[in-house]
Amino acid sequence: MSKKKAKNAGWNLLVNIPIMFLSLSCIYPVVWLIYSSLKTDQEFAVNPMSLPLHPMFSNYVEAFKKAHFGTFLFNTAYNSIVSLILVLFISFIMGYLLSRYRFKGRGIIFGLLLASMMIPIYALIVPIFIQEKKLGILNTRVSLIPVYVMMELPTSVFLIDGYLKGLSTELEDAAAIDGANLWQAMWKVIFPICKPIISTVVILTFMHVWNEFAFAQVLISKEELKTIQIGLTYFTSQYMKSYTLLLSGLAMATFPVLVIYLFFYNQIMHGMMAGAVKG
Amino acid sequence: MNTREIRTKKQKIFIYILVLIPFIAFVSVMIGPLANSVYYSLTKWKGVGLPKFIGFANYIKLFKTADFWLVVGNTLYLTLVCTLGQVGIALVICFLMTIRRLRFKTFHRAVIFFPVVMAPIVVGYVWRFIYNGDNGLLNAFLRATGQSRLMKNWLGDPSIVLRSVSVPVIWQYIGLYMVIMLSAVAAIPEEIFESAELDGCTGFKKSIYITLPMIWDSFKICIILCASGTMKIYDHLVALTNGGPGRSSESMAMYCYEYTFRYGNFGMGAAIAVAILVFAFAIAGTLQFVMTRRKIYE
Repeated sequence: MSKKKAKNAGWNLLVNIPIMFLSLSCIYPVVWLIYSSLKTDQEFAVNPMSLPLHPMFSNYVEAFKKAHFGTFLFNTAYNSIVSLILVLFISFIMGYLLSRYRFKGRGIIFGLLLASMMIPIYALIVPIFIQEKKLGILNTRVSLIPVYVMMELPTSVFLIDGYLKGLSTELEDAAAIDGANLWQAMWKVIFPICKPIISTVVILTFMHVWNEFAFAQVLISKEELKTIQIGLTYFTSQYMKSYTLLLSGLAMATFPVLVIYLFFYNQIMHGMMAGAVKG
Repeated sequence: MNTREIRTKKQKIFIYILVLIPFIAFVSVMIGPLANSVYYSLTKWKGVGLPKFIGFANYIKLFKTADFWLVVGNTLYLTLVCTLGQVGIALVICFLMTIRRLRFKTFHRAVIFFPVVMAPIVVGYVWRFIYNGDNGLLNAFLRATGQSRLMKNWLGDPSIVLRSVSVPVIWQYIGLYMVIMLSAVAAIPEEIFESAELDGCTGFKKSIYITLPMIWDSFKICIILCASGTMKIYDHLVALTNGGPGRSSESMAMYCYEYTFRYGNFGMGAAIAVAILVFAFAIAGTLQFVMTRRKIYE
């Protein structure tokens, strides 16, 4: 009996320990990032793993002062918010109409949206750069917005379409009888009910745009329009001497995502799964 | 199906306008450049003036360049290693999640998924700290545990750098594929597991003969997503090594960037972009074909 118990315990450990190890490896870097950003460079050089003796925020202050971090943060927030408003507006219209109505060309539109999810987006960087150069919108506030919006559109449309498929048309029909036109039924009746899927779309878009790097690197070269992800590469060239300053930058780039993850865990999971399965 | 009828002509026009405007915008931002890309790849163009049509000269020159095949090799190596690593580890975790012995399942799921939402650039820099030769966390850990002889210059040694950079990429995305496959596992009717267990099919056998066939479609999607995703790897490498030392960790996407923006050779850059596209589609298509034919159930 005790032998069996011991064997059982052995199995338990064998199953639990590797996964626990992986899990811890997934949070430790984030925790390490946050506490290390509160250290001085000397402290960091002595022991990169130790906790800060006297936590201090001067790295953050310096990041804002020296490295224009405020500007970078503002630009990233601006891109994220404008893109997500547009994505929401456009994808809801398209998702709704494509889901509810059958018209000529619907199949083609749907098919192309689906197929475009397979395009490796990086193959588009050069031609988009050329196109924007021709149009004269390189290095402006609108350089990145169209790319981000169109990048996020297919997934968002599919999420909304999928959600509406499971929603009966009764409410719109009733609204139509009361004299509401299509536009009104769409925004005043259906939009509010779609809250769960809307929040998924918003969060996914926000996170993708917040984290995007390659297009921001290519389409923007003006200092005052750069995003936070580009700002980070700056730190390594200009301020490579100060590791802790870079750490505070990395931490700042991660905070918003971390907070959103903690609050909207379920929507994020849902969106990631739906997006992947549809793709 | 929850659909509605189009009642009036006015409504029809309204719908068309609302769908077509964003769709045309989509085509011109996403599909248009793709066609342009193919055209530019057939021209000699420095980014200014008029592109000069030169046929397949860019491709011929590209295929004769040793560096191109080096970065293709790097990219394919990373694609293979990262796909096996990410989806493989995710699958094992997925199996373990069906075992009652495993504790704290919700915690594991939430935590292992977190790196997915981090910016690749941030992940790259964090791992650069881990790998740092002088005072990196990994070497510090090895020194502290008395394994000094395992210490390496993880990102500076051309012979191991590709292996080193694949670890953060694998680490970041295990969670994504885990979650996708777990959602497929959750859809398996409980009775199937129960009757399998009654027949003595437990543990490892259960995973291979019941769980895997039941989630085969999701597994396939994960493999394809992961392979085509890793083909375009860029951000991580920029932050980790910037392609170095030499070109030993450079990917196709970085090579494309270099040609276009550092050398100003737009025609060649476009040709490399088209090559990435062709490789990615070829790999996705092959995988789709192979994995559909080898269906192990039904």
